[in-house]
Amino acid sequence: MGLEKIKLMSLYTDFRKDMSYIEKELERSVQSSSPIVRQASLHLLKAGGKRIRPIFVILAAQSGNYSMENAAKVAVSLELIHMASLVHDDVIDDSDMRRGLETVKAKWNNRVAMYAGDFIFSRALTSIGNIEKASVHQILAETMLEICKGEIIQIDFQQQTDQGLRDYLKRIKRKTALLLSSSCELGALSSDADAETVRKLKRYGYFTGMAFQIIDDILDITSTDAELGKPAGSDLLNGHITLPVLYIKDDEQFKPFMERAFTGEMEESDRQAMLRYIRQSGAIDKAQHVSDLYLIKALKELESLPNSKSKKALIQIADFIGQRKY
Amino acid sequence: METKGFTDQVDNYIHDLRRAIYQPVVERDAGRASIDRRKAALLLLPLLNGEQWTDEMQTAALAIGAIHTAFDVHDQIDIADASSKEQQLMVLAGDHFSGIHYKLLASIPNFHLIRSLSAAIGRVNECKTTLLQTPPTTLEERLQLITEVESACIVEFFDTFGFTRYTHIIETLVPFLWLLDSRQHDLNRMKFPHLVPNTSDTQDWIDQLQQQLKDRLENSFYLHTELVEALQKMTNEPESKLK
Repeated sequence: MGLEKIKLMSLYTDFRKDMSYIEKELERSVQSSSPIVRQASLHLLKAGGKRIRPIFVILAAQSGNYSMENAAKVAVSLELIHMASLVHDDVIDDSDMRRGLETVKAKWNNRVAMYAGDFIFSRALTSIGNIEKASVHQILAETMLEICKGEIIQIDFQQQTDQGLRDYLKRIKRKTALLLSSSCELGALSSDADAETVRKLKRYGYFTGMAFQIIDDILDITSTDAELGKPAGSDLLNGHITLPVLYIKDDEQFKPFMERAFTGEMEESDRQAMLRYIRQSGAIDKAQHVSDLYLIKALKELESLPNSKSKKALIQIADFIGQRKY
Repeated sequence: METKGFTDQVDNYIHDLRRAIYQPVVERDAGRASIDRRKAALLLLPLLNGEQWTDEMQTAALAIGAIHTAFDVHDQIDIADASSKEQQLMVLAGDHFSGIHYKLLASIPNFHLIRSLSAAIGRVNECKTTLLQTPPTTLEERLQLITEVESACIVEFFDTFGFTRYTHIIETLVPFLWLLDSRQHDLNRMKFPHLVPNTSDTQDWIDQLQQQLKDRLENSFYLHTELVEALQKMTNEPESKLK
């Protein structure tokens, strides 16, 4: 486990028991009578992850009448939805590596990845199906559709250089922020927290999610292949224009890099040169600044909530997101 | 009840389903998803037979149609290369249709069906993976898995709304129709073309299932004569007369 991950896990210390319960539930949820489906589902689960969605559910649920079992049903569901979307994303992006491991589609094939993703999605609904609250299901269904819409728009925008900041922000809202926002909202709703607290936590999740994705997009450029577990610059190679690239896409010296990245005519040395160019351009600092502004907004939402261990953890997670290196 | 009436009801359902799953970018760049009319007709059997059909049943039936369409779209993803824009959008179209299925169930809301259908979706994907990667050697086992894939969600729908008496018809018709398709070598229409059995096996099973279906239809006193006739026609021809 890397230093960064240890740092993040240390923020979960007060909720270790809950998180370890969720981990077991996640593993139990993807058990299958089909050995291939089981292996494919466990493959990604065992590769780890930050478990940001489950911890948000747990922490938000502390604001009401907390029940670990209820919160876990929501937390497991949200993490499984996230996992299912990653398995399908790897088919779309033709990615062979994720979190330093072979992807499901690379280890088996595209169709197995489709079925494994659909299987994981079904397990997500099985988990949350035990919460008999209409609002919980309506929010989650809307969130899933919005995430999907975001991905469809991302494909539609592939290699389109005439997009602006608003397009990018709308895209990452759907891609990442909504699920983090819903994690907080559904966690709070599952424990019957009051409406104002639910609203504040939902907004905290949204702002943190925006910052989280911007940092993810920065790391795609500033990290090494080994740190990412996939080639750095993958976003651009897949035709996705992220915030740092948005800031230099009109730079005359950068344009040829972008064209070669989009046409797939990029040699290894060229990719490294492109990454160096972006890193030295000042675009990373500008993107980091936008992320910082979102985190300030996220922390503002927490100010009026009563002091507690969960509030402290939410503050620390926001700080971690702003500085994370993985 | 006339065949024209069946056609109209299936048409209306497909029209509503198309409206529910509509996604403009997907339709523009990947085309309209094809909706399996025959499967839609099987799902609507109780309605076609004149059973009381509530708004809740209609919404749940649309949810089943959405998830069936999601399955069909994901079955069309190329095993080795899905990097074209059309294939990428098909992956997402399937996810979108899955999301619509959940949204429809949440709108009722029917918690029991959310749970039972999610379990069925899980089983369907397990079976599809087995049929793809490690298909059983006997035709009987293959037919069992194919029946589960094609009918599991319909059966859950029937169970939820008290239509279990229609289940045995579906469970005989589905493998029978698959075999008919395979005999016609209609590889575009049929699911799992790589599992097409050899001719002698196929004919034995067709005869056996045809007899079973005949017995079942004759003993299903609650079925209207016109519906029985329509189902019998369906089993005589590769294309459904419930269209």
